[in-house]
Amino acid sequence: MTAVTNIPADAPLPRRRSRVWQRLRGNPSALFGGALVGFFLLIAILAPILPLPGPAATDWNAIRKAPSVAHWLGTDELGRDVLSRMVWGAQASLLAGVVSVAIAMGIGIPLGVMAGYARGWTDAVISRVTEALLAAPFLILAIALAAFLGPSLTNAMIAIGLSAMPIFIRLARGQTLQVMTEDYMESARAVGLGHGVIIWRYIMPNIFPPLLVQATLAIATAIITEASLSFLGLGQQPPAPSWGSMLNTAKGFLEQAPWMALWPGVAIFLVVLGFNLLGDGLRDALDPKGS
Amino acid sequence: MGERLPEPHPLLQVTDLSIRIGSVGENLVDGVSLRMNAGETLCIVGESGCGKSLTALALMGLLPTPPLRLMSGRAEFGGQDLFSLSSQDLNHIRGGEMAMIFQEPMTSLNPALTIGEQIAESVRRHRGGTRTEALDRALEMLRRVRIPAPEKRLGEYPHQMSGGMRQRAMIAMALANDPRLLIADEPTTALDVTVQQQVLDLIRALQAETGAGLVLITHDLGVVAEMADQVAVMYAGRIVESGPVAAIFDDPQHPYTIGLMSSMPALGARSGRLVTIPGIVPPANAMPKGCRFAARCPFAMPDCAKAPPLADLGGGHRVACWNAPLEQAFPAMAVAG
Repeated sequence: MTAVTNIPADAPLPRRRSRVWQRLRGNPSALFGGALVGFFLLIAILAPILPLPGPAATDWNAIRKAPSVAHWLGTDELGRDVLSRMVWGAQASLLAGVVSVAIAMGIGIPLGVMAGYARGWTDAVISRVTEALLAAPFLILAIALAAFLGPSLTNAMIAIGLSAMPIFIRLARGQTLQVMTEDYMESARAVGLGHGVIIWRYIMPNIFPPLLVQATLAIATAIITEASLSFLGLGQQPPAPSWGSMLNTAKGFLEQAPWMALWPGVAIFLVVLGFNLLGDGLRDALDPKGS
Repeated sequence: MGERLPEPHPLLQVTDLSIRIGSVGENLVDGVSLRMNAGETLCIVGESGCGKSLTALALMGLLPTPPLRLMSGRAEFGGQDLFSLSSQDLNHIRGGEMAMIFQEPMTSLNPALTIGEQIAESVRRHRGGTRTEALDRALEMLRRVRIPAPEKRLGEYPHQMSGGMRQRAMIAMALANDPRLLIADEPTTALDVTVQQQVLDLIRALQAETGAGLVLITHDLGVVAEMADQVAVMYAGRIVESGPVAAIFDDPQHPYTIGLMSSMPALGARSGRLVTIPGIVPPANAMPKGCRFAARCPFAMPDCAKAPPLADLGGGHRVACWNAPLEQAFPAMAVAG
């Protein structure tokens, strides 16, 4: 107690956030993952201003040309620049990943917190529906929903979001149940706080870290799923570019123009790897038991 | 039982409080009655599991139900029966007129909010006003609980503070809305001995300042001697002896109270083993029918198969024992004493 008074008033104080950041910085694979994610985000954002031909601009004089100075990654079966389609496809992929996970969290977290907080029959109903949704394999559910909603990128995002939602319900419910047993919940009730304040100020901040980790990993899954749906023709519609639909077209020209399949495949691999490494790193950094 | 005219307007009057776990078995808290006046300190003493914390939680409306069940009882606080209030009215009283300090300062604060925000949240709940006003009040409270550099502490998170500091912050939060009754459940048990004394001194000083009543739950007879006006000794869910602190310490009548007193280590007396009470507290699922202490009592007799009433020996000193007063049952003790 006496030591406290000796600390100068402007001394830097240890903060939780900075501790997490320091751990993240000390983790090379998380940094690599973050760099990959950052790179794809950057090209997706810069897509409109990069000096590239339009992603749908055809050139009948340059059909299925190998990578060259004019077309760094080659051209496809309609003479479109693969690099340009890759860059615009990154926009579709990342948008699909982020938006669908936002949908999943936006619906899933409130439902999960409600189930864990209210318990009783509210919990029973929400949990049974969640289990029923989880019983269907993720991709099958997404394909079924996308087919039901009709093929478009927006509908694919909704389908992926709804399919990923039960994971967030279950996680948010479990975390809420755990936080509810903490001593500080009792002291919150002892000072007469209402449900709203307890949920927003006592539950949400304390269940957020594991949800953040889950969100990062879910974006990776959502990107693969979007590519799968586009591959099947249920996502991004031609001529708008998407890595999945590029792969679908490329499969007919694997021997004549392997670069058409190579680049989208590599891009999907790298961006998913990036999100997974970042998610793993975040999980380690946010783990209070970590060194 | 001696008839006494009830004193006017007790701050808190609990009558026949019983709590049970599940629907079968014996009551964990059985027929507990308490009474205290404004500004007084009532200490509830007893060993772990005797029901003292359950009693406190019931008063705050914080009993986890289920599995626990309130079987009977009234708790009048400021003319209202706490047990029949709507949850909204109860939330209005909790943290406002009635506040609680918990045993574990290390885990009883929300790790995601700064100390200032946590106190301010409670202030705004009960007094309204802006965030700035509430934070001003929080700062004032941190000053009053004598936290060094309160301006800086206001913006700190609980993990940046020591146990004693956090308990001070808890006290600041509990007293922020000028409660008339403060319930402290073993407020010093988790703290270092030196810090314990500081926290007790602080509670006493603030109580004198605000005139709040204090229900202090403890197993430490030293704390009782120092703080209490009234004492209630609990054993296995029942009050076995209650009364003014002087009566309990000078003339303990229940064999359990006597056992507690003699098992307290005294400074200087180094010879011999510490006195213990033989046996263990009966488990909750196997409570004996009559007097719950009989199996461990050196004075047990056949009558003890019936539960003794809490009989008044005069001056508010009440004992639940067939042998009380002991001097009459065992004249030799009066001579020896």
